[in-house]
Formats: sequence, structure tokens, C-alpha cells
Amino acid sequence: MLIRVSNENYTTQKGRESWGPKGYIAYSKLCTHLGCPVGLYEQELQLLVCPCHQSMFNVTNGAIPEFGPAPRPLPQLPLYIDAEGNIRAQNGYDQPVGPGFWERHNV
Amino acid sequence: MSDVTVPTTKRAKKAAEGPYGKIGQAINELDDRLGVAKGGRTFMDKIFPDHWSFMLGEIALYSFVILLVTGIYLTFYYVPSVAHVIYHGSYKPLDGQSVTQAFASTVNISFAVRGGLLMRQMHHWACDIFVGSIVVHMARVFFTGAFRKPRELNWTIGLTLMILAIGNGFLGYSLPDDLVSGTGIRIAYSIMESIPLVGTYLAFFVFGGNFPGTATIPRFFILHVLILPLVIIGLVTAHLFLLVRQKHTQFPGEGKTEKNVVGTPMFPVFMAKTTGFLFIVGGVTALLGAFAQINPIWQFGPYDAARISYAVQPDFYMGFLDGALRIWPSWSFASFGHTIPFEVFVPAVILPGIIFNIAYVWPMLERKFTHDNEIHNLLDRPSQRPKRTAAGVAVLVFISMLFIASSTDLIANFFHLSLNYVLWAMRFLVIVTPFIAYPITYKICKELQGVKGGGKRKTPNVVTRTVEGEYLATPTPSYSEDVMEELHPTPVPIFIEAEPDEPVESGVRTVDR
Ligand code: FES
Repeated sequence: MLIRVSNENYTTQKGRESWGPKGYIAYSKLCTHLGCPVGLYEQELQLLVCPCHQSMFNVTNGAIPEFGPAPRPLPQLPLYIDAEGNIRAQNGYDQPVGPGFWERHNV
Repeated sequence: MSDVTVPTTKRAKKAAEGPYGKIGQAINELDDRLGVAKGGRTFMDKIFPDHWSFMLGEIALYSFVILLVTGIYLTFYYVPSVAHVIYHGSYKPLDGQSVTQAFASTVNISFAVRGGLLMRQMHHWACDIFVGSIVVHMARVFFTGAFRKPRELNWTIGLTLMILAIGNGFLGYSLPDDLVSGTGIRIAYSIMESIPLVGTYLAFFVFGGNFPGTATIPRFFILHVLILPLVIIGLVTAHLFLLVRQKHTQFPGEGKTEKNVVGTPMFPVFMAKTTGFLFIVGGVTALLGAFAQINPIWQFGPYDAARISYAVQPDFYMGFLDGALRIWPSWSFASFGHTIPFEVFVPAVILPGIIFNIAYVWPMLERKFTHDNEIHNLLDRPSQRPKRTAAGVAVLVFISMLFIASSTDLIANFFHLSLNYVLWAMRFLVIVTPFIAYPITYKICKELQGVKGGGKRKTPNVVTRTVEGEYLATPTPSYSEDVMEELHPTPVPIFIEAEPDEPVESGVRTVDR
């Protein structure tokens, strides 16, 4: 999902300096707990809330879970803005989205 | 008088039919060919002891009958397919939307099919009643020790039936392919995926590929309407067969021993009662289906993997799992190139596994610890077995707390509390309350044991006023059935030596086991 957190380029974490052009950042919507869509946004606290078991992810620091049973941050999609001004993804997610499973490599 | 003296041709015919009339004749004909009389006789003579708690299993049986009948009706109109269609039905807010056939047909059942909504809601209510009554019935069996030798096998069958009922309830709940149930399938998929080593393969195998797939709904449909009902019917038959074969348990009381059964025979008394009861259960379900809305899928909308609604909650029998998933901390394990999602695996797989397995082996455990290898046909009062009762109550409290934990967000909203506090309170309560419940129950049982005349009906005092205006309370004698020593019931010779097959006046009979 796409969120605009500021007007300038936004860095959620070290190494992701180029991922949030003009303050647009994108995260996977699949909760890392059980895969429900993380569909609620608590604007004041800038938390994404999963309605299934109330995991909350902090939008500003790379969707690190602040509350609830979700074990991992939501993967962030690296964005860029092309010459025509369209928002595009630099490439895919750097890890599998959604809940954990046996074959998932530890990231 | 004229009846006797003037025989008509009709009367002569009647005489030829024998003493039981046409029906008797028909049964005779049948018996000559199939030999039904002997089995029929045994069946008609089966004795049912009387106690209100024995009706709980009947509720389960009859709600299952309602499930079958309403379910067959629903299969006529439901389409188990996730192929998309543009909805143009009578529910206007959805008009023109692309929805799956499963969803469209369920909305159609609710709005276009005559009696469809009633059938759908009755089916859903009957399912909740089915699972609920099984649980209460099991509690009755547990707390009265009805699972003891020789009935361990029937306890096992009953427990399996409960698990199957929950499973089939979940499958049926998933079929409309609405937003809420779709989220349920998603969660079920992830739970299966969380099992170490085999999880991914298992989930692919069961759901027919990755989530969301097109195979899931058709598969769930066949499992829900054919496979699991067949297994349930088979096990219910076995359950009832064992019940007839081993004869019903009974509470201690006058003339009731380990070696006899005192109660009303199948025909005519019990049959009349139980048929009436079938209609009561059916009637209550119909009332609920008519007046109490349940699962209004058109308000949720069709499933869409990217959408969700607030306060998503499953049917009540899934609540304890949901609660466990909420309060379990986010302890995931990841190293050596593998991930074990303990935050899911422990509360959703290990925990129910432990609960159900303890329930399975409980009869054996109890036999081992009490060294009691006797045959038991007389039931315990819960207070007579303080340890068992206390353990049962502790487990029930534990599960109830998990159930309450599935509404942490609602509780926090309703009482304007911080969700964090509610969560920690529930974590604390889930662990602590069973340990409080155990000693309290134990103590109450011990106290009850000491009460004189405990478990027996109180007899009224007759209050009289004398001419002088003085009030006198005279106790009336206790009910005859209640005067027996109950803890160690002794046979009552006169009662047993009485012709066992002759009905006594009240319609109550005693037969040897
Ligand atoms: S699925 Fe998001 S918190 Fe459980």
C-alpha cells in the first residue's frame, strides 16, 4: 500500500535512502502474522493496524511491529519517480511477503 | 351391549386381523420375512433413565437432523465456484459488481430463493446449536464420570464428533466467499503453513495451491456437504449403537444399581418425549432463523484479498483459537535458513493439540491414577469427585478466557481502555484464573460433600397458624426416591426381583444390564 508521509524524500531505515521519493513509501499489505490485509491506518500515531489480531506497524521506521503478535516488519517496496512523474517500483520485495513458513530464509 | 350381540361383517374382519389390527398384521407379515420382531422388541424395550441433563445429547442429535435438512435445501441453489460473474440480482447495492458465483448464489439464496434466507439462517443457527450442545453434553459426561469404563470408546467417538463438527462448521462458514469468511480461509491457510517442515506442502495439498486459489471453495464444498457429513453420520450411528448396546448410565437413587437400568422404555414413553423434543429443537431453530439475523454476507461484501473490515470475528467455536493467536507473543524463530513461526504454530496448532489430546486420554489417565478398573453404570455427582471436577472447571475457565481474549479490541473500545492494558490483562488472566478456579472448585465440592441431604430435593415445610395466632412449621416427609443412601448405592432386593419386563405403574421399568 502507498502512503505519503512527507513532501521530501523519506528514509525509513538505513540503506533505504532512495526508497521513498517525495515522501511516498510503499509497504506490503499482508500482515506478517497470518496474512490478513493490514487495512487500518491510525493517522495520529502513524501506525498501520491489522484488524485481525491488532498488530501495529510503525510507518515511519520501516513498519517495525510495535504491538501485537506480528513478528516481522512489513516488507517495504523500493519506489522511484520516473521522468514522466509516475511512481514506479525499483524492483520487487527483498523478502517473501506475508506470514512465516519453514522454507523462508531468515532476513 | 349391542356390540357384543350383533356381530357385523366388519367386526368379523377385525377379528381375523388379530388383536393388534392392521398394523399388527403388517408387522407380522414383515416379521415372517425379515424377522424384525426380536430386534424391534429389544429396541422398543430399551430403557431410558430420566434426568434433565440426558437431553443435551438429544439437542445435538436433533440440531444435526436440522442441519441435514436445511443443508440439502441450500445445496439446490448454492454454486461452489469462484468464477466471476456480474451480479444483477435483487440486492441492488451490489448491482453490476463482479463477484464470484459462490457469493452471488449465496446472496441469491438470501434474497431471491423462496425461504432461502430462512433456511440459510436456520442452517447457521443449527450449526452453532450443534457445536454448543455437543460441548455442554461433553461437560455433562465429563463431570458425572459417564466416560468411565466401559464407555471410554464412546467418549473418544464423541470427542471426534466435536472436532469434526467444528471443522465442518468452519468449512461451511467459508463457502459464501464473503469478505469475512475469506479472511478466515486466509488465516487457516497461514496456520497450516506455520507447521515446521511440512507446512507449505500441507497447505498446498489441502487448499490446492497457493492462497488465494480457485480450488479451495469447490474442495471445501465437497468436504462440507459430502465427506464430513458421511463421517459424522457414521460416527453418530456408532455413538448411538454403543449407547443402546452398553445401556444408558443413571444417577444413583432408589432401586438403581450398577447392574440394572431404571427408566422409561423406548415405546411409548421415551419415543413420545423425544419426538416432541425434536420439534422443540426444530421450532427454536426456526424462530432463531426467522428473527435473529446471522452472517449477513451482503453487508460484508465479496472477498477481496486486499480488503478487510473492522472487528473480524469467527463463529464462537473458533473464538478460543483466535484469542490464543491474539495474546501469544510474537516469538518467531529464524535461523539456519529456516523460519519456524512459533507465534502461530504454538497457539494455533500445539495448544489445541494439547487440549484435545488430554481430553482423548483422560479416561485412561483417570483409570491410572485412581486404580479404578471397575465397570461404572452409576453416575457420579460432580461434588463426589472434587479433583476431576476441579480439573474440568479449570480447563473450561482456561478456554473461556481464551474466548474472551478474542475480543480484546471490542473490550478496549467498549470500556475506553488501552488495548495494551487489555492485552496484558488477558495474558495474565488466561494463566492465572485456572489456578484460582481449581482450588475454589475443589473446596466447594468438599463443602458440598458435607452438606446433609445435598443433591436432594428440598421438601416444603407446611406453615400453619394456630387459633392463638402462633405459627408452626411442620416439615413434610422427603420424596421417596431421595431417601436412599446415594454414595454407595446398595441393591434393593424387592425392586429387582419384581418381574423386570413388567411396567410398573409410573411407566418406569427396571431391567438387568
Ligand atoms: S493477521 Fe495481522 S495480526 Fe494476525
